[in-house]
Amino acid sequence: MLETFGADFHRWPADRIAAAEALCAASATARAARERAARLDALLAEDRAAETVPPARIQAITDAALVRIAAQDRELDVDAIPIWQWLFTRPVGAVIATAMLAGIVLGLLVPAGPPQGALAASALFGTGARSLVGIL
Amino acid sequence: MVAESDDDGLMRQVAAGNETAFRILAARHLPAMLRLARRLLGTVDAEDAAQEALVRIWSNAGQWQPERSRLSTWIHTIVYRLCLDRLRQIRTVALDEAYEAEDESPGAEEQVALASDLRRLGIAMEHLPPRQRAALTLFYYDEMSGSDAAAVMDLSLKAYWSLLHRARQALQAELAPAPSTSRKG
Repeated sequence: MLETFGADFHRWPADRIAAAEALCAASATARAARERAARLDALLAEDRAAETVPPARIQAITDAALVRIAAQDRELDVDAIPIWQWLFTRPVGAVIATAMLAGIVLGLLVPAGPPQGALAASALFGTGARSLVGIL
Repeated sequence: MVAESDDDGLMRQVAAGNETAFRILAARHLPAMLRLARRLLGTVDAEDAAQEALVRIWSNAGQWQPERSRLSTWIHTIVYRLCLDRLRQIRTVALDEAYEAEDESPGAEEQVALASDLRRLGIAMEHLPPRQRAALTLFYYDEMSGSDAAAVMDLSLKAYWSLLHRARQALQAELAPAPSTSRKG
């Protein structure tokens, strides 16, 4: 029990304390074992007391966490907008959108010639074949 | 302004996005969070892990249920799981070798002896497996009850007592053979 809970009986399971106290009162060996355990307890307590965190450090870590949180919230905001708006919110999206618009404008401005397959078909089989290829 | 209320009230305000409440909460719980993370990861990684834990607390504040667990248990669970994830990634934890500073002020001899003992304790702790370190930290440093510590580590109470027993025995064994004299270079 000493090797689990240490020498402080207050931290022992309640139903074992009375027996432990009785044993320590009766046995020098038990008392010596408890003293050994108390030495380790004291060292652990000293270690705990030595581990102070300066308030400035606490503040710095909290500030850094809040920066992460703000960045995370911005990401969530971007994820929440509709896809067509997303196209205009990031450089890659803007480039893609511009290229698509330029393609549509060019397609409207440049006059469409007859399909090449249709020209070849008319040369070989006459205008009837050309119309058929055009339909297809 | 946020009144320095209990954890329950603070968490409700954090869940509503109140930064001041979050700062109060962090000031209250960060030392214990750092202690556990330091024991498992070492000083440098501990601060980053604690930071990440704070982000998770903010993000999941609405999920904490006061009737199911104490806030400190919930927070320790977040830190513990985060540290275990990181340990799985890094595998090894570097020992802190920077143990040079010794005090020459009055009463320094006792201070030096204590510092030496604490150094040995630190090294002995480093030699323990992470779960044993966590078991000792929760019980002896954070003074958690067995049932809370078992909840943090996702163990039955019996398994936690068993782990704590092995941890303390191992720590005692690590400390036992070391000489008590302090060498000066």
